[in-house]
Amino acid sequence: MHDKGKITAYQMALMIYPTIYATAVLMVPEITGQYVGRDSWAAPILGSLNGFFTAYVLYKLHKMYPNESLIQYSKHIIGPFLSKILGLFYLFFFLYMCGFILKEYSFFIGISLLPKTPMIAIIGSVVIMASLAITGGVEILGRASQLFVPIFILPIPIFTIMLLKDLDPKNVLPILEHGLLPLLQGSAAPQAWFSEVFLISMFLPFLKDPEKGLKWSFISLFAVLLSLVSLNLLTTFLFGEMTASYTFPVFKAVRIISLSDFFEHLEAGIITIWILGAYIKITVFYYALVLGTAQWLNLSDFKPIVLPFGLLISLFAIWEFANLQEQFEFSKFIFPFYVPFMLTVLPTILLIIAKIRTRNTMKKEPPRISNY
Amino acid sequence: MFRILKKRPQKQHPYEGRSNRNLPLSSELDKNLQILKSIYMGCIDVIYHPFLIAGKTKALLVYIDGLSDTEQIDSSVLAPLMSKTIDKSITLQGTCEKIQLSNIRVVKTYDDCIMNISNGNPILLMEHEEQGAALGLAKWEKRSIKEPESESVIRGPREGFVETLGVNISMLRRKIRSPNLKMKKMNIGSYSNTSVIIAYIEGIANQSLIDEVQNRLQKVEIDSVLESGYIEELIEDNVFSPFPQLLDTERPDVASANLMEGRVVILVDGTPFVLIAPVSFFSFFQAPDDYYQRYLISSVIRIMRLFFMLISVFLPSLYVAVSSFHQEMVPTILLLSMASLRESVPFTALIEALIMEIVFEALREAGLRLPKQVGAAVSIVGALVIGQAAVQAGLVSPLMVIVVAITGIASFMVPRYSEGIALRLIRFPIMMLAGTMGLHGLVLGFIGIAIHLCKLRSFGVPYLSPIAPTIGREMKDAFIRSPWWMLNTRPHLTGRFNKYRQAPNQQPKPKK
Amino acid sequence: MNETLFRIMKALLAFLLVLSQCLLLTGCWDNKELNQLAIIVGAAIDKEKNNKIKLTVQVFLPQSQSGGQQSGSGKAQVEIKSAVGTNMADAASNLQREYSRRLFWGHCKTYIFGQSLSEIGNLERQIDFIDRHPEPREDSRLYVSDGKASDILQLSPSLEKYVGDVLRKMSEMHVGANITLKDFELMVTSEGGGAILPLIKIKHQNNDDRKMNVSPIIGGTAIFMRGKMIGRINEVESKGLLWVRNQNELPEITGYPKKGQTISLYLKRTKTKLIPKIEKGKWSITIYISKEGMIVQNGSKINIMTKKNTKRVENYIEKDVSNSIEKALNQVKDGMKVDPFGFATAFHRKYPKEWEKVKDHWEVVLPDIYVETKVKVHVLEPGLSTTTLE
Repeated sequence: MHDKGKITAYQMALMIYPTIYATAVLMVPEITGQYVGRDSWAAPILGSLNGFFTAYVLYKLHKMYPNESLIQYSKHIIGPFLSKILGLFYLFFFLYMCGFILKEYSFFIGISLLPKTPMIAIIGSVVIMASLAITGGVEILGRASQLFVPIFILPIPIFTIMLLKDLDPKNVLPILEHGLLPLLQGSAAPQAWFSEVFLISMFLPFLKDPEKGLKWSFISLFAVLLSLVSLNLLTTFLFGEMTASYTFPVFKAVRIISLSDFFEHLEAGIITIWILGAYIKITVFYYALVLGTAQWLNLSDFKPIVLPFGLLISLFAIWEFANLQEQFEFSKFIFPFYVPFMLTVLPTILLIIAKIRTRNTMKKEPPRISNY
Repeated sequence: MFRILKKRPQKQHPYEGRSNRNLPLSSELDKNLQILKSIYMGCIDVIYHPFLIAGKTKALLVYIDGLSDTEQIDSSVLAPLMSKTIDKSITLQGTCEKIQLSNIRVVKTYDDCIMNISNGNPILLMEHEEQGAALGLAKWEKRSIKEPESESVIRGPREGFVETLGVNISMLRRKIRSPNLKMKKMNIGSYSNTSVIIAYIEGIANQSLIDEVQNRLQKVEIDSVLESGYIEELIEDNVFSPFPQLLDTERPDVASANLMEGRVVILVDGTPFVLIAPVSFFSFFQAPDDYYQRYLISSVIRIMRLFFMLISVFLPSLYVAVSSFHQEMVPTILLLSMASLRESVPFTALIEALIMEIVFEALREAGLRLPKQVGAAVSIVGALVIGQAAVQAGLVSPLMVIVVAITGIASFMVPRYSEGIALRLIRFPIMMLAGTMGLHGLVLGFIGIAIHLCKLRSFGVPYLSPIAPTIGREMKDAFIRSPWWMLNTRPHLTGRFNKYRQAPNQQPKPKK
Repeated sequence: MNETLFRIMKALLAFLLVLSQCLLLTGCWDNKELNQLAIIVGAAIDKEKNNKIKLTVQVFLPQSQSGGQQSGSGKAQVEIKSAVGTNMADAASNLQREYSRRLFWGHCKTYIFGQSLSEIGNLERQIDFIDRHPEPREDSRLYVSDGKASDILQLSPSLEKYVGDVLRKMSEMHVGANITLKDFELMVTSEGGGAILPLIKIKHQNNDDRKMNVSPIIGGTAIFMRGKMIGRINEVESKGLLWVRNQNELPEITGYPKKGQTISLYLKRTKTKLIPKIEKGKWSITIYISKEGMIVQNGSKINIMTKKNTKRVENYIEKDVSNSIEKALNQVKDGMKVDPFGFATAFHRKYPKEWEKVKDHWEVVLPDIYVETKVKVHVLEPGLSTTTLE
């Protein structure tokens, strides 16, 4: 074990919630809006099915190899050589995702808070803060999310209440005007985000109460589902068909909050709170990358590679996309296939192989621990 | 105490500690006298009083002037021993029986003698005896018990610890009369030889915690311990943190309450401040009054304290961020008047805030050290300089003065000085961050502090408990103070070994 | 020991270095001090020759208050300047050449468009700046001026500090239509494409034609079809239009029982429902309007304390309400063939399939739609007196 810390399933659920939700809240309403317009609230419901499935698959795998992460136990399933290649895939994927999230983060902060600040300063400062938490190990991540996530969730009900007078529920009518096909297209993006629940495979081995792992993953997914549906409803109630024409619909919604003359223009404050969630997301992926690398290389400690990888993900973040349009296009057309392939399809294949192997070994020779 | 003298071989350390004087006493009185005199060479306050027991046996009484009760020496020791009725061939044992004292111990080595003499216990040595007697006649001038100035309360006991260890122990014992209140004594300081006591309640405090405290104290090798602060820095978990990881208090009631929650109290001779371990961030926001006043009021006040704690850390940074980055956040009318007020200020908001906050800190520090009469003058001058002249001169905006004033007041709402000053310090880096990156910088500062606090531990207890890690049932005494009839269990992390502190269902209800 | 000391020193040094960097870096990047900003509190956009626009802004002039002895706030000083450009961003950048401080749009909540500019159409191309640029707000209010928009900004109102504030507060009080940027966008992109903006006029006081203490007033409504202003209606018709849109106007309604007699109701609650119906290819829509209120003036001989008479009073007021609605429908639906009422949306929601067929020639279908107005007024209270002095 590279990290001696222990977390509870509840802490893991709190980590997973912003891991999916923090960036989904930025991009998903726009992308689903493009396809399904005023039915965008239904898209996350369909999309979440993939999340529940992924969580189930990874939990099953975890049950078979309780003390290891996917990077480690894949060698029991597909042999050491193939598993190293698979591990490399995953590490590259994590690296890519870290860059993706950081880029999105810096774009958003750049648009909303700090238009002139160089991207490297925004990315660098967040990466330094993230590495600070990661050197503390999984325990610190768990505690930090217990501290930040409640603050992160709080604004959602508050600003819904503040917007109540501007909402027009009739905007969702007519429901499913153009049939189910656009809905299926629209749910492609949310399901990609939901498949990020894969990250539980990095945390399940650290659980104090592993039997609750699946339950809390599901609760976390359900919370994300609820938040996404309610936010999509909110933006539809507010903007109707216009939702898809805004880059960040939720951000636009926050901008029109005005309660008496004094409580208006709250968006900077709400972004500030959103940063807490985005920070957890960055930290979780960064941690998965660093821990995965340590496991892949059989290092005894992951701490020495935290900072070098921080540099690497900062570089990835700067290189990945030239502009926000490119990132949106990627999120719309490639992300929905790329991410679920890595995070859902591959683990499912692993599970099937593992099941077949155990059945075969059961038949041939009774219980034998694999000696790879 | 001899543990200190055992040098661990692996330690390559220039520190010598004390030279070994662990020699047994000689049976020749003259030799003993000679050695003692050589040890106390140059110490003019040591008094050697040779006399004859029953006019025959040679004896010697050694003590330090001013540390022992000379009247008692004359009446209870010398008078009975010098009377002619005593048997001529008396042994030490017999002599001790004749002395009209309750507290007599036998000493066998020079080191023992020195210890006792230094503590004020006169040593009685006799010819042909290889041991002496230490007479418990220590008595010196003590400060009387007064109300602690740093922790005054509206309601609650008015007594505070004093500089004398024995008095402090007696104060604790008067509060907790159970024999389960145990104390372990050790001496730290090769020159000062200060008594340090670990107090705990057997059956409530975790044994491993007691062992850990003892272990850490035993590792301390230092010349002198003049205040508990010396020890605090040598036994805390994270030495690079501005946050205190042990609670210091002057109040016996606070110490006793913490004992009852399974914590360990470390008393140090020579200071009224005792240390309490382990503590969490929220311990520093629990004033003693909280538990004596009505719970509703205490809860509201405690929430206010935490809220103002946030204000004291983040308000100046918020001002900087909003007035120089996010002007759209301010309501239009306020912004327009802010713009008018700031029009002639030559500095950026950050510099303005830094100047004012630093001046405020300087004023606070200056006022702290000065005698009361002068301190008042300083505060008047400060108020005039900051409040009026600076604004009139156009150096700072009136709004900044308001911000500094609120920050100042807010920072004094933290009941513990050690925590308050830490929080006051960290607002400077956050101000800088806010001045560089606006709210983004501010929230990064918040994250940095939060992560640091998440990493901190005080004797193995997470510093931010019970919110990170979240322990739901512990919230009853963190943000609010639940009524006593709900505080049935001790805090989980320190008191789980003896969970219940009172019978359940004690909420007063009308009879059915 | 020395090593640890060295480590602490190194950490401290690094920390100080970072902090000093922070200090040095302020002033770069996004740091913008309040006294480096020219805060715009109102903007007007007019048509210019050669397809250009003229942007006029009202900039707040902060008065230095060092000394703090000055007497109160007085009137805020504003300065008005304008520049010509091909679009708003261009004009704004031309305007910037005239200011020593950076123009700041974050508190500009009033945008007035000149009538001539609105009538060319493609107003949404100018509005795009307000929508896309991060500084201007979504809750800014849009207006159309009767005549040149820049003239409105020249006024110096007596109660509020600047014109923008006057207009915004009037809108918030529901004098005329209360249309924010977001509302306008929603209307323009809605099925019908009809939109409205409040129309501002300048009202000169009698015997005083100086610019001082002249207030802008909201007099009627400009009717838009997808970013092109095609007509205007007066205050009474606007009231009807807004009621159909389920929006409030000023809460007083007056009915006329007989010639020379009046009775006024202060509305407390008002609600509108549009029920579309398609029967045998015939499109019709019913407007259900219910209003509740309190009598605030009885200038008639009716004894309002009886149930029967209350009904009568309700009828008179209902008549007045449906009267203004009829006028609005006549003017806008039949005259201009525009649908700012939300009929199209109502049809779309209830009959999506039928809507699909007509959506491309809605303006042809619209005048043929039969509209029925059903008004229900409910008098809740008689006010504080029961009888009149008569």
